[in-house]
Amino acid sequence: MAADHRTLVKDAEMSANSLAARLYDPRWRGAFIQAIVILLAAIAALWLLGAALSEEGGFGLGFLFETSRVKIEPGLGGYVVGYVAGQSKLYQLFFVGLINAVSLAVAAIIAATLLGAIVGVFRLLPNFVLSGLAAIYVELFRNLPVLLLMLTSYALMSAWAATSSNGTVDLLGLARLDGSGLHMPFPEILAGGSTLLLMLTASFVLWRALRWWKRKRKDRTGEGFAANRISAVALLALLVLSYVAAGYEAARNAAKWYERDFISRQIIREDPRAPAIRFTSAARVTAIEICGEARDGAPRFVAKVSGVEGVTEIVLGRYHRAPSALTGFAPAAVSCAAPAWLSPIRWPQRAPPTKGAPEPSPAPAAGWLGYGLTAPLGFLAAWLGLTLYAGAYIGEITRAAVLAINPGQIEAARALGMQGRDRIAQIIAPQALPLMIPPIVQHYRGVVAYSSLASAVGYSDIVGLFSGVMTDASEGAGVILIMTLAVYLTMSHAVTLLTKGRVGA
Amino acid sequence: MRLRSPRARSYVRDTLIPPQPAPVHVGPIGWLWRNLFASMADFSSRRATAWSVLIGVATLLALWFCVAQIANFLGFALIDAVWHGPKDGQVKACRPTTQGGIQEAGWFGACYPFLAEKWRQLIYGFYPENELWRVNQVFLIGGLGSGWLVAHAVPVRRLWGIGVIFVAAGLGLSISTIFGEGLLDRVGVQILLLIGFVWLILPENAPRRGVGLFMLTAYPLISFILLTGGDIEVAPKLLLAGAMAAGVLLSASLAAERGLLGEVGDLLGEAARTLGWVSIAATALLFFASDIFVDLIEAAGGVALTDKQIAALKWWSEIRSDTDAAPTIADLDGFQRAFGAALSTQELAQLRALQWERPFIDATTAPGTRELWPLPPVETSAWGGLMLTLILAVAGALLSLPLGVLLALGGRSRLPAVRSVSRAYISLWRGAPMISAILAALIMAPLFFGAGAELDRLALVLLGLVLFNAAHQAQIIRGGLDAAPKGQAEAAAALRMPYGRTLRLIVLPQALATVIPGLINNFVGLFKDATIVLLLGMSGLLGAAKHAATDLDWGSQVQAASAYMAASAIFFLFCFGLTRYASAVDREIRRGRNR
Repeated sequence: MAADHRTLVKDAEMSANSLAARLYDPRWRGAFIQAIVILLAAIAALWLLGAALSEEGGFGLGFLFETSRVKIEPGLGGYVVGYVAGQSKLYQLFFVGLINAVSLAVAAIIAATLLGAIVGVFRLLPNFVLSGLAAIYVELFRNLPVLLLMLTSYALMSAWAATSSNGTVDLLGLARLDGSGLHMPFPEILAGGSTLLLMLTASFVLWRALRWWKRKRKDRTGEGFAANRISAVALLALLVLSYVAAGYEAARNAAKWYERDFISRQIIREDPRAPAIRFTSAARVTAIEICGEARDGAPRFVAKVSGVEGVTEIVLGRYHRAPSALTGFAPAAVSCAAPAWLSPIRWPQRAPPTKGAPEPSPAPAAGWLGYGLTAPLGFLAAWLGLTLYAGAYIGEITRAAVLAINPGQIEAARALGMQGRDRIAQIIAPQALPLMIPPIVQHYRGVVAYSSLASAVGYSDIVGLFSGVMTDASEGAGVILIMTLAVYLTMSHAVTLLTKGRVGA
Repeated sequence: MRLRSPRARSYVRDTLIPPQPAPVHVGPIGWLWRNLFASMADFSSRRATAWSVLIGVATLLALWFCVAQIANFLGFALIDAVWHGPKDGQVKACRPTTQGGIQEAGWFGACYPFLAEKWRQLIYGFYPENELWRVNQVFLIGGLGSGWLVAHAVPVRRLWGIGVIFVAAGLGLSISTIFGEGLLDRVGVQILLLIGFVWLILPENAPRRGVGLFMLTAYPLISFILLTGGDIEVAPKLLLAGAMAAGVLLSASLAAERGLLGEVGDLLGEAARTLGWVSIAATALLFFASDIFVDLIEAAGGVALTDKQIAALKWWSEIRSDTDAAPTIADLDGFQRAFGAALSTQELAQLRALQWERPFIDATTAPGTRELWPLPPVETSAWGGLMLTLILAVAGALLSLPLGVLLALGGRSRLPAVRSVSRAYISLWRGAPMISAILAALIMAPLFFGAGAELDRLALVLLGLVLFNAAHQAQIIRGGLDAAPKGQAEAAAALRMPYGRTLRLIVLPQALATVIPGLINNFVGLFKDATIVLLLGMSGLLGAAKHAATDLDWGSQVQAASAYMAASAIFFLFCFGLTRYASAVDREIRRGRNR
C-alpha cells in the first residue's frame, strides 16, 4: 500500500512540467506526432511541386499540343476522336486512350458479372456436372495471372485464325475472326431513329408512371397490378408501330432521293446485299466521284459517274467505298421504282471484307462502322482475359455469399412451400446481396485497374499509348503519369459511386 | 433492399399433401440421383418444368464442353505434340512445310523440342549459364526453409510435415540438378549448406522460430550475395555510421534498462533497442554485400591484382573476345603503347598464372578482378524468368509488410492528421493500377536522387511494387486489427502498458495471426501481378514466355501456345498450392476461434 501511495504521489509531482510528463500526456504526444506527419507530408508536397516546376521534371503541359506520331490500332477511341497519326495532337491521343480504356473496362465488368453470376449459381446446384465444371473454371482461372490470360487468348485467337484456311475463321456465318479482329454485323438505322427514341422514352415514362400508380394503389387498397407486364407489352407494341412507320419514312426518303439525284437515262437500283456501288456493264468506267452523304433514309453516298459508256445498270450497295472491279458484269434485271415500304434497319453485309478483299478507298475512319462492327484482336483478348479472371472471382463471391446465409432461412422458406424463384427473390437474394456487393465492387475496381494491362496485347489504351509517347520524348513523363493515375482513380471511384446506393448495402 | 413482390401471396398450405413413398436413394444410382438427376426432375409446375429442362440442357452442354475441351487439350499437349525434332535442326520441328519445316499446314500441337530449348530461359531468364548454380542454391534453400515452415505452420500430422519437406527439398534439388550443370562442381558449397540445413532442421536445434528467423534475415542476405555476386561498392563511412548508430542506440537502451535515463528512458528505451538491432542487421547486411568484405577476403588470401594488371586484363578481353589465348610479346607492346606503362615481369607472371582467361576478364562491367571471391557479378538486367517473378513477389511482399502495418495502424489512429494521411495513401493506391505505381517510382526516383545517380532498374521497380502493395496489405491488416478483441488493448492500457509495447505484445500478434491467410493471398496476387513488369521490358516468367513465343528462329504457329502452356502450369502450381495452404491456415485459425 505504501509503495502504491508513493507512486501516486510521484505521478502527481511529475505531472507539473517535466519533459517526461509532456511525453506521457496523450494530447502533447498526439500533437507532436501529428506535427511530424504534417511536416513530412508538407515536405513531400513541396518537393513534388518543386519537381513539377523544374525543367527536368518534365511537368510542362505544352507537349500535349504537339503533333502526335503514335500510330494506333483501329478501335472505338480512334473512331470517336477521329485520330490520325501525324496530324492529331497529343491531347487527342489522350482521349483515344481514355475512351478505349473506359470501353474495355465497362465491357469486361458487364461480361464478368454475367459470367460470375452463372458460375456462382452452377457451383451451388446439386448437379455434379455443372458444379464440377464451375469449380474447375474457378480454380483454374483464379490461379493464373490476368496478363497470362490476355496473352494466351491473343495467341490462341491469332493462331486459330492463322491455321484456318484463308487466314479467317467463319463463326457460323455470323461473324468472322481474322488476324486483325472479330468482324460482326451491326444494324444501321436508316430512318425513324428519332421516332424510335421517342417511343423508347415514352414507354419508359409510362413504365415509371404505372409503377408509381401501382404503389399508390397498393398502399390504398392492397391490390397488386402487373405494371411491368403491361409496360413490356406497350413497349413492344410501340416498337412495332415505330418500325412500321419508319419503314414508310425510309421508302419516302428513298423515293425523294431517286427523283432528286439521278440522271434519268441511267438505271439505278438499290441492293442492300451488294457490297458497293456496282456497275453492271461491259464498259470501263473512267472516273467516279463521291460527292457526299445523302439524307437519312438514302444510301450514304451519291455517285456521279462520268465517262461511262453503255452502262445498263448501277447498283447501289450499303458501302460507301469505291467499286473495286467495275468491269465484266452482265446486265441484270432493272427496277426503277422505289418501294412503298423499306426496312428501316439494315444489317450490313454479314462478313465484312477481310484480308483477301481489296482495300476500300477512301478507308473508313477506323473500321468500326460501315463494315458492321470490328472488335480489334487486342480488345478481344484483353476483354476475354479480364472477363475470365474476374468472372472466376465473382462466381466465388456469389457462392460464398449464398453459403453464408443461415441454412435455417432457406429450410424455413422451403417448409413454407416457397418455390425456387420466390425463395431466391425473397429469402436468398436480400440476404446474399449485401454480403456480395462490397467484395464485388472491389473486384470491379480490380477490373478497372487490370484493364491498364491491355497494352500488352496491342490494345491502344491509355497506358500503352502514353508509354509510347514517353519513349518518344521524355518530356511530359510526369504529366502523363499524373493523367494516367487520375483516369484510373476516377474510373475506380466512379465504379464505387455508381454501385453504392444501388443496393441497400 | 426493397422486396419486390409481384403479387401478394400466402405461403401457408391449407390442405394436406397425400402420403408419398420415402425418398430413399442409396448406392451409386442414389448418388447419381441426388447429385445429378434430382436437379432436373421437378415437373410439378410449369416454372419448375422450364427450370428442369434448362438445367438438363445446360448439363448436356457442359458435358459436351468438358469432353471437347479435355480432348482438345490432350490433343494439343499429348497426341498431336511433337516430342523430338529432326536431327538436322531442332528448329524445323514445328514449322510448316511451306516454310521449310516438317509439319503440314493446319497442324496444332505442343512443341516440346522448343520448350526444351527455352526451359532455361523460362526459369532463369538470361542469367549466365555458368553461374546458374547460384540461383539453384537460392531455390534450394528457399524450398527447404519454406517447406519446413509450412510443415510447421499447418499442424498436420507429422508424417505429412515430413512429406512436405521431402517434396520441397526434392523440388529444389531436382531443379538444381536437372537444370544446373554446375551443381556437382560446387560440391563443397553444397555439402556445407546441406550440413547447415540438416543441423537447422533437427527439431531440437531449429525450432520453427529459428528457421523463420533464418529465412527472414540470413536467407535474404545469402540470396542477395549469391544472385548479384555481392561486391557492391559501399562507402566505408556508411558502414561506420551504421555501426556507430547501432552502438549509441544499444547502449542508450541498456542505460535505460538500468533506469539511468529516467522517465524518458522508460519511454524510448524500447524503441532505441529495436532501432539498434535494426541498424546492426542493416550494417551487417551492407558489410557482407560490400566490396570491403570482398577486399578483406582477397587480402586474407594474399592475392590482389594491381590497377595496371586489371587494365591489362580488360584491354586484352576487349581485343580478343574469345580470350582463350594469352597475348604474345608483340601484343603486350601494343598494351604498352596504349597505356604508356609496361607490366613488370612479376605482374606478367601473375597474369600468366591466371592464363588470361578467367571469367572475370569478361568483366568490362566488373568492378575489379577477384582471385578468391567465387562470384562474378551478374547485372540485374540479366535476371529473368521464374526467378525474377519470385524475387519480385517475395521481396515485395516482405518489404511492404512494415509499411503496411504502419499504414494500417495510422488508418485507425485517433490523431486526425495521421489518420487522414494514411487513409489518403491507402485509397490512392488501392484505386490505381500497379503499373502506375511502378512508373511513378521509375519517373520520380531520378528526380529524387538527382539525374546523375545510377539507379538499378529492378530496385526501382521493387520500390514501386512495395509502395503499391503496402496500401493493399494495410487494408488486409486493418481487417485483422478490427477483428482483434477490443478488451485486449483496453486491458493493456489498464495495466499502464505503453502504446508501443501494447502493439508489439498484445495487438499485433493477435491481429496478424488472423490475417495470415489474407497475407498469403496477397502474396499470391503479387506473384501473379508481378508479371506486369513485361510491360516495362523486363522479362519475368511471363515475359520470358512471351519472348520465347516470338522467337522467329522457330517460326512456328504453336510456339506461343506451347510457351504459355508451360508458364500457366508453373503459375497454376504455385498459386493453387498457396491458396490451398491459405485456406488450410484459415480453417485452422477458425477452428481455434470457434472452439
